[in-house]
Amino acid sequence: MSIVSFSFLVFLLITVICYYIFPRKYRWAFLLIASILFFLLSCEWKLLLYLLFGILATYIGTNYLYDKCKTKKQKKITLFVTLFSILSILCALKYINIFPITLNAFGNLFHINFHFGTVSLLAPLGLSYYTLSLTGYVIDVYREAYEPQKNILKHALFSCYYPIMISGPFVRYNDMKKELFEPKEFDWNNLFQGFYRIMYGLMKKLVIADLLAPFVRQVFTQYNNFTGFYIINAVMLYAIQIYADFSGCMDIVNGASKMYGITLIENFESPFFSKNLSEFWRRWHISLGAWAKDYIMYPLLKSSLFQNLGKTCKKKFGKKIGKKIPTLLSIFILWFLIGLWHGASYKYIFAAGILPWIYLTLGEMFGEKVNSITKKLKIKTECFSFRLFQSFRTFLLMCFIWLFACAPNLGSSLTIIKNIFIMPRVGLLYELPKLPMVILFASSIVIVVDYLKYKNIDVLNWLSKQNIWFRWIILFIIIFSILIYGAYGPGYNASDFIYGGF
Amino acid sequence: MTNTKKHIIPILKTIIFSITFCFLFIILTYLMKPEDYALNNIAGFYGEKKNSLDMVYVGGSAGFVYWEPLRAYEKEGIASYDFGASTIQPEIYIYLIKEVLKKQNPEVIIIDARAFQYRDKEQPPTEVAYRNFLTGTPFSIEKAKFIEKYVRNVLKEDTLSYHFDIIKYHRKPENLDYRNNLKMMFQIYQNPLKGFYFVPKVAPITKHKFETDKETPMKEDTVEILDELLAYLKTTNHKFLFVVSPYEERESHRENFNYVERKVKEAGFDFLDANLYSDEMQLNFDTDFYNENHVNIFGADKYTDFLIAYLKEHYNLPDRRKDKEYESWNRLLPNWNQQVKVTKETIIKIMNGEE
Repeated sequence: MSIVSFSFLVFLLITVICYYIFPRKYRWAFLLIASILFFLLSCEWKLLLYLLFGILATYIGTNYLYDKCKTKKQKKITLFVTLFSILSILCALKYINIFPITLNAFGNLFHINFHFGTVSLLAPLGLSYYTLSLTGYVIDVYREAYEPQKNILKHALFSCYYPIMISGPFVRYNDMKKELFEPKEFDWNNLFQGFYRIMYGLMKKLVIADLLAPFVRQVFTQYNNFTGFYIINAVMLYAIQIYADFSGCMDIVNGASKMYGITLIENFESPFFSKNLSEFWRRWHISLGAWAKDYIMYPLLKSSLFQNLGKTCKKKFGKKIGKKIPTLLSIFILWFLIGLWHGASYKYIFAAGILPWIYLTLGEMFGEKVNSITKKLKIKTECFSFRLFQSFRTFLLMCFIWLFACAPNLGSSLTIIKNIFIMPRVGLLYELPKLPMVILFASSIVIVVDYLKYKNIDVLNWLSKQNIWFRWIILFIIIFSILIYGAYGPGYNASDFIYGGF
Repeated sequence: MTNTKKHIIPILKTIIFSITFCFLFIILTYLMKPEDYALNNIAGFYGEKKNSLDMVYVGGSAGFVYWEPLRAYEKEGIASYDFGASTIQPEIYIYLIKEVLKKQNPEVIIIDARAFQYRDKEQPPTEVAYRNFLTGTPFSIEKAKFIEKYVRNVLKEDTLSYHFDIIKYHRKPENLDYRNNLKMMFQIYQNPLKGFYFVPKVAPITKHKFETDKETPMKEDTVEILDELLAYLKTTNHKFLFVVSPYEERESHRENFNYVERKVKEAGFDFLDANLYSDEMQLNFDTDFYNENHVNIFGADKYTDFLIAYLKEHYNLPDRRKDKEYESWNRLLPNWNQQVKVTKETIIKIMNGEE
């Protein structure tokens, strides 16, 4: 069941009503039923077995680790076995094809045709999202950050709470425990705010992302035809598309969750207003960045291997550079794994992994020098024009990353970059799908909302303080712009969420 | 604030919001319906004054390019309407007749019997065939039932876009007529041709000669549809005439019609295969058709005159020409005659090789 379908809205309405009819104490149990139902309506029932396995493995593993393991060694073994059991499924289902692809590509370099076939395995809904959330949970229990959940059904709900199964966010047990299991009071405000948020998310997805998709797709599939500024335009539009798509999805997810009275963490905080790339990644897919730092980067830096490496580097290269080497290495591993998480493809490893790491390393190396040049040139940095320049620079750097992400593969992305410098043919514009003006209108709303968010203004709260006629007008504008212009219905298959596939 | 009050106000707000939304949604649904003759024909029927029609001709193109309501009115004062659209499927008849009887109390309802024959081979049910009718008819439980029964089971399609056709027609604002569409919503849109459709074309066709009493039933599901229709018609206490309008009829078609005729007559209704009277009508197979399945305006004139005579003989159809309630019909006649003249002139030019 797609969350941009009418059936999802009906599902949500029915489950919200039933949820509040259920006795307060057991509302969480109803959420578990709803989550399983959603899973079954969204993919084959057989795939539920993967999820059940993940739930059981982590439930048994964490409780055994907490209750039975006395020594550090026992705890480490239990941690390893538990993580291996869940991560092996993720790797098997998601990354199995990277081996034949690599071998075939390697063979091609030496003109040898290996012809290793790829395997098509069905992955359950939200596999990478629930696996990484559970991974974090297991590690936290190992670190004794909190006690594991003793009730297997509650543990199951934390593992498969359906709104987060679609595209995240990655949640922490500590944050979710109170939200999921504490009895929730019925609150009209939650219903209204949730509904507003869902409609806003649908507008982003159906009116912006899915209307831009055909244009972008055509340019990037026919990159030898559409050259020059068409590529530049397409990659900029892709930036808007991917943001509208992913943040739209998060709005629907957070809105749906809000209707049950459950607040999820935010995954986006106006990323396009960021001054630099570090800030951008603190504002884009926040839960992934935070998860990767907590469970990959910091443990690496704290590990004896990296501590020793730091000491050795300091001795060899001096204090300043020696300190940076282990940090940059851990950041490299972090970004490499983030790239790999995006998909078993070299373009993702490069675009979402290596390239961001190169950016950050360059920033680390030359950041101070650039700042001093700025000062020497007496460029005003505390003004709107410089802020605008900073945001635009960040946007352009991200566009370069997305150019690789939306190219068919890593090889073709190099051709696309080359084609940017080729003058396009006359009349090409007529070969592309028309971009309706409504995209501009909807994007303006998103920009205003994001700007207010950037200024720490809670738009939903602000809206709830306005007169009812004003709120309704806003809501009707959003709903009817979706109904009239949205890419839905026969002949307009709403594209899957881009991040749903990661 | 008391606990009850705490809930009553938001509930009231939700109800008012939902009603406002439904109202705006219905307006939008009508505004987004694409302008075409099928929509005009179907929606135009609902714009007719209540109980003002003495005859309704229900069917597909085998009806609305044949029967000229305004010619019948001009000549004999018969108030009638072509309630039809292309590629009609017989399973839709029950729903359409129910729609007719909600609004009108006609002396006779003519049912285009050719739909039973071509459903099996030439024109099986398609999305277009259903949408031609469903787009123009208003929301109703009967409509919903039809969609759920046939769209889901015969077309095997998702039914949502049939219930709410904005799902199908949004984002195509290029062929919309907002004024007409709003009139359709309030059921005040009037079709100036009373459902007739002009086709300024001509093509010679063959008149096949055969005589057969042999009966061949259609496919099982089509026969079931016929049985279901006849069973329903018996419950209505109205007069129904099943008609096969003239075309290039084949022997196998006639065998199907023989079967339909027997079933219809057994059910107590009238049946008329106009192909048997093509000589009496003086139909010219070189000039009176625009393809093997349809007459042009010359053929339509002859067919209408023939059917007027038949109807006058078998049914009690009043002359409405001097009735004040029908003055609007008189006002339509100059435009009608002008269009007939232009269409005929075009056809003559085609025949003379001038166009």
